[in-house]
Amino acid sequence: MRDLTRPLQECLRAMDDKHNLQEVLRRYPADRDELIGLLRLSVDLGAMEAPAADPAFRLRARNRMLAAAAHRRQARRWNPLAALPRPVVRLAYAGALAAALLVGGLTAAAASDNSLPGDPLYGIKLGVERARLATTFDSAARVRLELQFADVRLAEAQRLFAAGRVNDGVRGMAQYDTAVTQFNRSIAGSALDTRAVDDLSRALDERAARADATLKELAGSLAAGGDAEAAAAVARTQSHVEQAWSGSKRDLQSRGSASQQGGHQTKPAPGEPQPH
Amino acid sequence: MKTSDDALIRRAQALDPEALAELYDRHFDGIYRYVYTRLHHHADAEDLTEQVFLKMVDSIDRYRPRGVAFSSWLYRIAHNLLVDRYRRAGREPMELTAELRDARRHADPAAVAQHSEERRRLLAAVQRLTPEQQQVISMRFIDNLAIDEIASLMRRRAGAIHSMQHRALASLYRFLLEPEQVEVQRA
Repeated sequence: MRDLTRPLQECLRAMDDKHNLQEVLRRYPADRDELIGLLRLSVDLGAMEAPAADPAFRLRARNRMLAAAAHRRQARRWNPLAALPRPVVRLAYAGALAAALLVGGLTAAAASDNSLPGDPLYGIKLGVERARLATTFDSAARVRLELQFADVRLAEAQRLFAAGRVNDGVRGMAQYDTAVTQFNRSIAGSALDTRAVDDLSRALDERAARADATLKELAGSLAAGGDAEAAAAVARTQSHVEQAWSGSKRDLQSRGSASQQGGHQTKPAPGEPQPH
Repeated sequence: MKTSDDALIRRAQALDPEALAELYDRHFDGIYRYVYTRLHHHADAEDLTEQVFLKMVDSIDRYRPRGVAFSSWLYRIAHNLLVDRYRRAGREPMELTAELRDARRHADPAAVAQHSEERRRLLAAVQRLTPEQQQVISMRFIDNLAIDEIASLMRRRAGAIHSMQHRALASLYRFLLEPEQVEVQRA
């Protein structure tokens, strides 16, 4: 069978457009008879048709379609988003979801601020603290934040003991201890300028005195309440924290004296190369 | 697509009743015949045609021209509904059957009888084509769809449809010649 796709296509187009079919056929003398046979077939096929629809049904279906459209129009009035193109609606929904997540996240973060260890929102509170540390790139500011978070741990432990949650309070003490140790390590590993060293030294003196008084008072009240074990845990924390404060003070003092000898410049952490 | 069609479709997308009615009137006959040719049952064809236009109202806001004619989009809805129905009924799609009638009017009873015999032979030959060839022949010559519309419905390139159309017509021609040649040899 020869491929007459193209000549047939031209003939059918000539028939559709009511152009001169003979002219097209003259271009294919060798295939003329076969082409005519194929065209006759196409005409015979085209003469076959399905019976027309019942006019009453045609009208009924038209009315039902228009009623459905009216119903849909009504629904659009109640929901203006439905009238917008689908991509715009998707974008609107995505925006609304992002806003809801943002608002929800901020609300949860704010609500978690007062939470205590063991509360459902406490994880969010720690997450927010970690995020703040991760996004603070200035060494001095990071160290100050760690000092602030150590204060928060101590305040939490106090509230836990006050609420009668003694076991949680003891765990809180351990967390406070860890926070102070972390602060101590950060001081040792950070390059701080003179001003930051002075600020931190003052803050450290003030915090150490306040924490010492708080912990003594706490241990005393726990012992008076007959909770010797918890009182002992607080006393251990006090002793451990005191050592950490002392280490940090020494570190800051050594940098302070170096600054008096070498002028006003950034103080490297111990072990870091000295600036020339 | 003409600008007037564009404007009509935009109005229809806003669910303007006049625009929707205009689209319905333009496409109803074609869709009904397309469906009837494949279902061979008036009540079923009516039910499915109605569904096509209800679906049109439901999803016209999703229609984007992008080179696809509105009629192709509408035939695609009909095609998908037909495929669903075939699947539910657990049977294969059928294209042409003896229920199709000859649209040409003949006054002479002898001519009517002759054409009736020719029609029967033609339909018998069509049944021997592959299902895809039957589909192309039926869409092209009975539903009077353009090659591009058939290509869009069958998810093929226009060139493939052209060549399928030629192969189908050539096979039909051969099938119709066969018995005649046998009769000539007998004579």
